[in-house]
Amino acid sequence: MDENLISKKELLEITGISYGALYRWKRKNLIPEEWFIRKSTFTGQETFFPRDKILDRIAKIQDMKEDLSLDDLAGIFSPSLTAKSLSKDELIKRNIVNRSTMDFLVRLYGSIEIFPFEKILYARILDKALQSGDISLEEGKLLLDTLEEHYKKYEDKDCDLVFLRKMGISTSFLVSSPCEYYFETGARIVSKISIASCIEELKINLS
Amino acid sequence: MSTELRKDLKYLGKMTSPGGVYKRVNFEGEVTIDGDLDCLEIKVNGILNEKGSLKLNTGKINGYAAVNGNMEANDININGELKVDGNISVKKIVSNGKLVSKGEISSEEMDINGELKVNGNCEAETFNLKGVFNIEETLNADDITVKLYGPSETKEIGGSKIHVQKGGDNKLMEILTAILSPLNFYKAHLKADTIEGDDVYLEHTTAQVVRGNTVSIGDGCEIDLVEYRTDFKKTQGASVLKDVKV
Repeated sequence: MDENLISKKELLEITGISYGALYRWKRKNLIPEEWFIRKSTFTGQETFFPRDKILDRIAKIQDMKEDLSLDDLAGIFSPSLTAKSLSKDELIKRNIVNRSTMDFLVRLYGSIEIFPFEKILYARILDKALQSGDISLEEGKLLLDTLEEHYKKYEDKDCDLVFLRKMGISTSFLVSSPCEYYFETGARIVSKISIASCIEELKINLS
Repeated sequence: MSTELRKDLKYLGKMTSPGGVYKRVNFEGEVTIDGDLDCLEIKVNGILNEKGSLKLNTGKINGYAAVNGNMEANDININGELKVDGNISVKKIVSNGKLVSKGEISSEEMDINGELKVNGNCEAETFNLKGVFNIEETLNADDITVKLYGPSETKEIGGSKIHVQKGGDNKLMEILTAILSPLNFYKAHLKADTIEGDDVYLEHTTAQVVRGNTVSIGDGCEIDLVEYRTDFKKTQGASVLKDVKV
């Protein structure tokens, strides 16, 4: 885990942002509280961040802050669902869901014309998993069931969808993120999808 | 609720109310509210015991107010004491007296004369304080100006501009406190683990680490480590164990 962390000092050096900006973004909820990992070092308290997540987030903020206010950005980064909805055709046109995934969804749910944000999210996650080729259509249904049944319980908290397979038997579940988990040998993580980053991606696509 | 439907509420003396949604609220005396109160304007002269949460646009408290739930407001003016068990979310707070939150405070502008006590984090765009404060987690504000009048403590301070100095040149007070409290119980002093800002000026502060672009350490400071990017200064009366340019 340690090599995936970046100290605050190094972060400021690499990105060129100031202490003021970092604290401001934290205040505006652009950087989630959970990413601030406090550790005792020989120089006293130091703050560390998950390296990939924070670098990606700061690049996005720097990229978008010219066009959007900090509050708008906070909306994009927050894992809460929005009220936006899209039509079936729009989803395909915007490349959020692949046509064959859509056919699968239609077979499963019947014909839905308007997708609320929650359904768009599930469709997008399914699409991601199917397109990666890691899971089969049958398993895709399993994945959707998991999301439908349990995702709401996480409310606005960040979570990951994990897809596991052992000797041909597959199962999927949701875990809050960040979280460590270990399995018996022989079990393999087939697919792991960060739901917060899916939401973020969708919000950028829809805005 | 739309403004037209809201009605005014006025209580005099010792009263108890179930709460509700109102336009203008005026309390004189001792008032206990059992439920949530939502109003556009509130004026309290005396004591308010709010058992639920308090939501208002603009308010003035002269006396004492205790809120068991959260408090949300646009601007609030306190002369006396406000104690909130939950979180405070206010655009502008002016407090002359004592302000206590057992949760967090998030605001844009804080103007505190007197005492501030926060059990969680305290966030603001501008933070002006004359007096003493005790913030158990982080003080995070863009522009921080503190004039210390007593012992203050927090874990972490972060922002763009951080300016901490000893308040007042009241020689008489100094002599009096020296006589009355020889242990320096009321000594104006700040204690923090970490202080990080772009532009940092400190007086009478004890800290483990101070980091910044420009760091200036004044009299009465005891700092273990200073890390600066462009500029570092310290006065004769300051103690800095180690300074590093990064």
